[in-house]
Amino acid sequence: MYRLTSSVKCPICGVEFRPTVRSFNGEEVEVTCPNGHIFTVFVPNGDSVLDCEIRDWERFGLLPQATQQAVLEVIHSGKVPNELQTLMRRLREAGIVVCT
Amino acid sequence: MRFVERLNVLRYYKPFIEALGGVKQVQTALKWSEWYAVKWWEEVYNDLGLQSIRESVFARALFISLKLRGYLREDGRIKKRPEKPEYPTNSYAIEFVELHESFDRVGAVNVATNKADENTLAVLYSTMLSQGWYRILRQTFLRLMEIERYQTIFEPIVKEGHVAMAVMEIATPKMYIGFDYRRDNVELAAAALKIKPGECRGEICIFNAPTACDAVKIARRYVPSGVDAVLMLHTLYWMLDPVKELTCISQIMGQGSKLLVGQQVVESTPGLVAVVASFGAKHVFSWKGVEQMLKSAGYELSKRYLMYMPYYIAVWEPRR
Repeated sequence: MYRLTSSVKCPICGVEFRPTVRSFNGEEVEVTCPNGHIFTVFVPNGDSVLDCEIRDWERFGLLPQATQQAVLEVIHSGKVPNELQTLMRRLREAGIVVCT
Repeated sequence: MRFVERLNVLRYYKPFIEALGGVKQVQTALKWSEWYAVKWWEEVYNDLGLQSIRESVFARALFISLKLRGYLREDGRIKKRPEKPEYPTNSYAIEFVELHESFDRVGAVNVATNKADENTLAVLYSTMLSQGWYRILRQTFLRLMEIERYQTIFEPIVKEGHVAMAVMEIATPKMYIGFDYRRDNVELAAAALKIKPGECRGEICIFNAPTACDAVKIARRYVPSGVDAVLMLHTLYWMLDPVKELTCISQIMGQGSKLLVGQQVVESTPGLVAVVASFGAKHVFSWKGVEQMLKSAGYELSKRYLMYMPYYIAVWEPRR
């Protein structure tokens, strides 16, 4: 179970609440408001990155194998999962990854 | 490891041990941390001598933790060497070892002489915080502390916001206030939590302040009656003057408020303690040193869970 970090407003009764979801399957999830109304909310899985590439392979090679793999997958898919957001920003700041 | 500590680790840190593939896999991973610590110390000592412990927190962390384990003589020479361990097979245990391997590629002497690229170290720190084993370690700590019991939480030095994110995954505090002395950390944490830095209108408020004393003054505006809990997971060693800042923190603690402490110490994993020291930690502590510091800052022990393995974990409260 995950609790979303931001509140949503129920389109039926207008109550604002932070929904709990069972799992993320794509970007649309079904949630239930405290008054029992069921509706769908859009949950971006994280920031998107466009046209990124590894600019500094030497320093990129210092990262653990699993992390290198995860970063390459982010670059290919263009989607940054929440847990990799800060790392992607650091990689860009360090000039290891460059996005246009 | 003392027998009682071993029992307590199994009792309180079971989810972490299970995720890492059981006691043997954890032990193998820890052996690598020791093996690398000896390797790094040897490189630093051969190049810079014992003088290095006065100039580098990284070298000091290696020296103290290895001397404590009987690997070093008083003058810094190596007394005994650990055997090279087998490689672990569990993915999370491998991640842990891989972090040490990555750090090794940066070079211990480069780190001890401040020649390592600061951005590369920042990337490695960020890597560690996002690794699976660290995420499980963080979750296990928060569940052990029963974080969901606390409605208002203050987190000094939020780093990149991972602890705050983990709290939001398992609880719904009415107010979560955090600060960091580094602006880049505040921006990273705020972005990850999808809030604006310094904007305290919602449930989460992250701002920039030079020290905990300055932060407490700001935070009191939002929680005049104090917070239920102060959350400090691997935070103490980032503080410039821990006793002074802990004393200030007690001023934001309401009636019955708890200080939840998780802290790597020199008795924990030696390689990892040194790695984190290189990421900008100001101090290295023994578990007794942590307790003396908390007592001196006006706190009393409520419950100690673990002394040093995998790290020091306890709940403290202000002495009234």
